[in-house]
Amino acid sequence: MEQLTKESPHYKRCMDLLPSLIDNQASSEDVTYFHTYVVNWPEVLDCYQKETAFREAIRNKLVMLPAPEDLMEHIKQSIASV
Amino acid sequence: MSLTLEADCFAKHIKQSGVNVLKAINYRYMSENQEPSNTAENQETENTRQSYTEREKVEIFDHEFLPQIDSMYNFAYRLTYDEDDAKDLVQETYLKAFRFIDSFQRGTNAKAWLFRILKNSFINDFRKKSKEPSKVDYQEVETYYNSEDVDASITTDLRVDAVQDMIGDEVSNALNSLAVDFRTVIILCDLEGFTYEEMAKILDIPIGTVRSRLHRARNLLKEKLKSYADSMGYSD
Repeated sequence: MEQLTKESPHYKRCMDLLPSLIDNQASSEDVTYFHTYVVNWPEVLDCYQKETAFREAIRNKLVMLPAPEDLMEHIKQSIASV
Repeated sequence: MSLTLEADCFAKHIKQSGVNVLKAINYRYMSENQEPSNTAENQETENTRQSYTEREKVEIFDHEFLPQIDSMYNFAYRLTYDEDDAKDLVQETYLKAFRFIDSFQRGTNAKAWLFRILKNSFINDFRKKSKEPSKVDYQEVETYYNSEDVDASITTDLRVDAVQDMIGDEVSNALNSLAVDFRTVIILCDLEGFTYEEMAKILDIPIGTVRSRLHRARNLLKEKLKSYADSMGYSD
């Protein structure tokens, strides 16, 4: 397939989709579209990969803090007394 | 190659969607300086009000609300940084949720509904008590997004392996050092996985503002982490 330039409408569409993809907010159709065309512009793909890796690294470091064991009991008691 | 591509894309999006930042600022000012007439419970009440039996209320509470307790506590803790305050905030949120349970429509997103109440409780009660001077300077944000060189100045590149080598506390501290509004969008999006639309409802802001605030928050977080990465000997 011939390499597409940045003048291609697909480039603009890919750039528009990029933030949503990085935030995991894009539809599966948009994800497919992006990955079909982004191969034409390695710098965009590089940006996408760096950003998603950053999000993943942050997510892995920020562990979920479980609620203290007694909290649910306190809440249930409070509700029972309402 | 830096991350300016993404910034450029956001700048275009913001301009295209016509986000009126001043409206957002005014809205924020009003919501913080008036009685909370726009709290989740009040607004929901204006829409559709259910009439659940006592048994139904308990069912909803036990099966839809209580399973969210870990996420609720996690959010509360990352807002308050204090275990006792977080517990109080979660407890208060659940009490309000029960009191206004008729405003909740079964089958809708209980987690988003609860998060919205928690966020409002934090703003209306806890943040007033705390000493945290962490409100976002919206004038600065507005200036930023209206500037022509947004793509050139906003981004901070950061090597992912630097983040991977950090311990969780360092990342947590960097996140905690952000103003609460920036911290909140990262928590809601990256940790809790809410959609832009859900975040807009939880935070009472337009979707365009959610996107721009997220972008700004991420770059601030990167700047904080980059300082630490530099001290660890990483360089671009």
